[in-house]
Amino acid sequence: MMLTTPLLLSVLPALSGAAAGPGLEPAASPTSTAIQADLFAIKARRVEIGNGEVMEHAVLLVEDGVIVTMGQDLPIERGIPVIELGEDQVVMPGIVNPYSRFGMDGSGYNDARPFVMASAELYPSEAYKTFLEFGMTTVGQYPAGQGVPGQAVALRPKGDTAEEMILEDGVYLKFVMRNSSSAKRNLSDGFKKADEFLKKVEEEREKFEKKNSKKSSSKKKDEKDDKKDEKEDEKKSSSKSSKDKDFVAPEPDERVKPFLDMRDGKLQALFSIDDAASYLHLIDAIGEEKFEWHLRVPLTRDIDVFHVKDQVGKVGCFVLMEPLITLMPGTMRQRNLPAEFDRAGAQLILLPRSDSKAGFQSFLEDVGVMIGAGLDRKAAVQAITHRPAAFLGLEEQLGSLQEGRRANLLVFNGDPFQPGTKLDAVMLDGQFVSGDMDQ
Amino acid sequence: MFSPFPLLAAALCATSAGPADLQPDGSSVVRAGKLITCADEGTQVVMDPVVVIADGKIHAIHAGADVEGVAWENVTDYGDRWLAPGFVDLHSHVGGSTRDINDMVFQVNSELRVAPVVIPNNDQLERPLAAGVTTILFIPGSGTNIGGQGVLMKLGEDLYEDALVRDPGSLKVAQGDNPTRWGYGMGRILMNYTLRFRLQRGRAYARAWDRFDAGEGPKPERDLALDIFRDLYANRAQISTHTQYYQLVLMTITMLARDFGLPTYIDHGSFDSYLATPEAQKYGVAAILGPREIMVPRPPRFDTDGRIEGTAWGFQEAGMAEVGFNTDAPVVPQEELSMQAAMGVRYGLRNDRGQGLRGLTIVPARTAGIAHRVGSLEVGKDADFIVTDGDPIDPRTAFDATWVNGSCVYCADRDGRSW
Amino acid sequence: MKQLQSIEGPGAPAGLAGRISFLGLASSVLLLGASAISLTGPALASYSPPTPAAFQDEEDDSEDAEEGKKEEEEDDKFLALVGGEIHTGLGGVLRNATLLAKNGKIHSFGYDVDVPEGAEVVDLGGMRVYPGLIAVSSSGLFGGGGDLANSVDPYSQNMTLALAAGITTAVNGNTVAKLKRGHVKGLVVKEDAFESLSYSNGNPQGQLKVNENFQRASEYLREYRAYEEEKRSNKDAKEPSRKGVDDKSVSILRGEIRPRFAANSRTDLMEIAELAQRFGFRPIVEGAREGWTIADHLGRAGVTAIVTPRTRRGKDERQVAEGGSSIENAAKLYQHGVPVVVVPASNGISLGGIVGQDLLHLPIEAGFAIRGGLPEQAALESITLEAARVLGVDYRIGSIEVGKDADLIVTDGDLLHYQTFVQWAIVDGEIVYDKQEEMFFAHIRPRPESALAPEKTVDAGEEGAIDPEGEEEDGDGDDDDEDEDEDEDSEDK
Repeated sequence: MMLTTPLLLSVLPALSGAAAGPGLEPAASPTSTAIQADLFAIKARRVEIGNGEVMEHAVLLVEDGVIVTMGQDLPIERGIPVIELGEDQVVMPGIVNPYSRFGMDGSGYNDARPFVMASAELYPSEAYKTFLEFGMTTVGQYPAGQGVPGQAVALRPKGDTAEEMILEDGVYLKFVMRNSSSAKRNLSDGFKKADEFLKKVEEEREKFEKKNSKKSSSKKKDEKDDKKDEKEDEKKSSSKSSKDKDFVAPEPDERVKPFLDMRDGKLQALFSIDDAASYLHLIDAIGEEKFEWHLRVPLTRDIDVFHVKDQVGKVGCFVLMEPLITLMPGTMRQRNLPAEFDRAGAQLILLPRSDSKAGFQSFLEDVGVMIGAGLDRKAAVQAITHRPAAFLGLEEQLGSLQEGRRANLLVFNGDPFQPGTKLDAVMLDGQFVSGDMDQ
Repeated sequence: MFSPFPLLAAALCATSAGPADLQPDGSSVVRAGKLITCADEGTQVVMDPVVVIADGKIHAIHAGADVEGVAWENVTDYGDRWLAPGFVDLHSHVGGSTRDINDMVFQVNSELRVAPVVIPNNDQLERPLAAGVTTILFIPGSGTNIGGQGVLMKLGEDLYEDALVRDPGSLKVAQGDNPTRWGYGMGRILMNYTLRFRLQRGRAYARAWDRFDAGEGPKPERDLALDIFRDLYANRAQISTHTQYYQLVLMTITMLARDFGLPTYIDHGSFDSYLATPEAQKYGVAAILGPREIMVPRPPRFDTDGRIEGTAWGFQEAGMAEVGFNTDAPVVPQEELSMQAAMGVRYGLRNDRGQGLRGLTIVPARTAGIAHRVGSLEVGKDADFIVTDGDPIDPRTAFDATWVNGSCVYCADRDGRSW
Repeated sequence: MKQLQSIEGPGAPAGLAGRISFLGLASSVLLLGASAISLTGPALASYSPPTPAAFQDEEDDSEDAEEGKKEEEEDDKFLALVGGEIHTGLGGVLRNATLLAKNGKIHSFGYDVDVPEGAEVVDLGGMRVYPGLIAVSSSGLFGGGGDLANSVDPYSQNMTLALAAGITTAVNGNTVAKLKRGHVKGLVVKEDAFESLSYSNGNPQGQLKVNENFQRASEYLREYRAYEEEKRSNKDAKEPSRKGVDDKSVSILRGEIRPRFAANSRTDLMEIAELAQRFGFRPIVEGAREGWTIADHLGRAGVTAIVTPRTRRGKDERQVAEGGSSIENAAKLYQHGVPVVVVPASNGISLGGIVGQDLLHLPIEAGFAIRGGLPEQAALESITLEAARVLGVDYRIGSIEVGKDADLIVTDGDLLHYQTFVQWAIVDGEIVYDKQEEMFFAHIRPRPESALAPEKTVDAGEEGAIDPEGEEEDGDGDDDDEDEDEDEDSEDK
């Protein structure tokens, strides 16, 4: 880390206005939200924006953990602390891992429990440091289990309470889709129940309206018959009708609500499929139903999911898979399925090969292998930053480096996908949370 | 339907001769539409053949056109039917005795002979005979490293003496997986050691007898367990090896053929055994394939790049001109020997020179060292042949008759169609 | 429909083929006969679908209906097999003929078939076309469990291999389903293929029960007929009670479903034949090993036999009459009017290395029936039309006839020859197997270049990662642009 010293040299004098403390001993002030000053700038030779584009000679101005300005060779006002990165250093948005259970240890069930919230399991454990250690500044965590295990939560892996960590709850509902009637029923039954509920609501509304119209007609009679009590009546009826006019639908059952939400576009589904056939069965089970859904495809040695890549590509949904070279079934021929799906038009999201420290550690190198084997580099960058952020519904907040986004960024001492490249620093909401620049 | 041979209608018996020479006393004549010789050289197909049979042997084969007007006597005329050599199966366990011919007494049983228990012309051989199988090498199973001595016998003969082609027919050696069943915890190391040890003793024994026969040494003490090695080193018998895939076939070739100079053939070639073709050719090891004939891709061990490969196809692609087929009956029913050839062709074996049929006839006969008697229809050989209504390896082809040693031992019209 | 005459496709002669196809099945028959020749213009490739203009006079037709019809036209999918030797499966052979499939059905075949523009065309170079084969018993072809429609794996290796063997329809459990590779919908042809019954000498109690059931069902049906008769004159006629009446037996006696018996011994077969004659139904007998000894009885009783020609078993020593298996079984049954369906010894796909005894070799098994004397045509039917009949689905599959499902196979030779390989398998008018595109058998006697595969949309291989064309699905890439243009034009008018 030859760059550390000049970096500090350039930062420290710049921190003239601030007390000497915060920069050097962040632990000393636990309540402070910023390790660095509230306002500082980063000058970097090379910045991966997150959408695949690269900005050279970039200057990022960060205030209260958010990038307020960003541009090429922007002049920096005097007095603003500057973190000047070295020539070889590369900045990339923090990695978004939208599909993990690392740090969670609950077990699930095999049936449909769409109401289960992964956030209920959440507690700030030491494990979350591991995410940060390897540059994952945003994480989606899903509930364990088969069938319909429940809804995922998006979080920042740092905080003293679960609430502090949660960015967004109920970001997707996970389904395990298999070639079986029970798996397909989990989906169709859910919507059927939603239909039944809506029918019931409709019936009650009709009942209500009938009752209401009767009342209003009887009220008219009253008006004619007895004008004396007009005022009183009016008062009564108005108070009554204000109560009755607004039909209050019954609350949907916790098993029904997620399906209603899916229809209303408030909740998206993530289907885990394990072969080409299960995709076709998924399409069959979806039928005419309209809602937003995406795919999780855990890659196995000789998975045959390439059969449906064009169909998936046409749909254009997010596809979550590992950076893994698979084999053509029955052969030793290698296939780069992430690249194939990307090329077919699917929105590729890459996940660590294993949901473990080892998987996190080799993640970028594994992605590099896929790039070497033909995966488009821009797509690869997007697949670990912007796209997973969009999948979690957080693309306005994070996943790319631009104005208005959280200052979640990683500093590497070279190309992030080259083996041997070191992750020098991890910044979360404008604070260095991991790496050599921490101190 | 099937005509891989050049249509050379020349008589094999070229000599011009008087009527007595044409048909000796007591001989019989078989006529048909077409004859496939399966000879290694010369005529492959004879049209309108006239086969003169004397003393159970082929006295002459004439093309009809060459002997017009001859008044043949004792004629069986099969019209437009085909004649082809009877089939030879070098791997069968269907001896007809109530017990299996696989005694598995010791880990190596070179002294055990199956000859005493094989019942000539037993019931189980009725369908095979109707399916054109005329010679079988009955061998012990593969449950030990040396199962014992097989016996080469003909079908359709009731007496052992008449049925016998050769005893010992072969020494059955098994490598690889099957013999591990013999003892708990047995593996390759022990098997290799035990087998090599027996082979070394056998070689020493055979050499001692050679020296004695040449008047150069004392008379060795007779050892029944090693006697077979005298036959082997004199090439009066071969080692038929249960060896199925590449690594094992390599071991067979290197240990038996290269290191010990024993006449050896692959008798259970399956899976990717064809990868050893260069070594097999170098050491003159023939390949008799079956019962398994295709290899399904199972990478990384059996990596065929997704192909379902025929073993026969593989040997041919690798340069071995001819291969034989077996049944390992009852693994594949004895009567489906010809199906084995058909499947070999189906899965890629080029059949432009009748390789399928040759793999049932002359190739196994040559491999077992009995080609001077069976395996092709040539003058002087045993009159073992089949009568069919077409391509002998086509499953659809009806077999009308089977002749062994000059006699019709199966006749569909007479006996009812058995297969 | 005289308005049709006024339609003209832009710059092309009146698209007669288009009209005919639009008119549907009834007129497609025309293409079969010589009359098609006079109807067909020289520009075979010109295909102009009827436009909404054709319906101008029919004011009643709502726009939606027109819209629907137009869309239907646009979505028409054609597959043309050109230059093949068509074996109809009914005995007919048409050399160098063309077969046109439209929307999954056989639309026409013969010598003067218009191939519409936009059709997927396969030049067969003289190869043979047969109806797809039918396995009346199978296991493991659909890759899933019992609930076929919801568990099928239409990319399973076994399904591909079964298609490679020429099988396009198979019975899984009691469900007749197609091997629609790449699809999970529309593969079930029929839910209940058979009604399995047991009627064996070894189980006299069971026999008694079956007898009773049929007896009661028979009585019920008699009463029911009387009731129907009486109802005409007497409104108060009382419907006979179904209590204690076995529904299955009633269905069988009504001919709604055929019973299937597993039976091999002469005695059992004889008794089934008697039972069938007594109650008047047509039984299916699976096995029928000793059927050859009483083929005449079985023929009279209307039995259909599902046999494995290579069955081998000696006869029961105690049996005086002749028995045991016979290679001539199928032939003798056939001679006595017993329809014969062939199944191999193993009803799955066997990849252990021993070949020739499983569904991969269904035609080979039929070949063994020929060895025993069954005529070649009957052997072909034993794995096509007769199999369809026994399943009650011969109105859709089993032979090449206009209007039937376009379930076809193309072979490089006589289907029943041991060397023959299936080159293409087609289900519902879609190519679902292509030997040269799959890895399994492409290396065996590769198809000559002259017979070209249809254009494939194949992704370029990844650098450093091979993307074999072998498993690429055919894109639906047939360009229908011209048709669409035409429609737009006519709409402008």
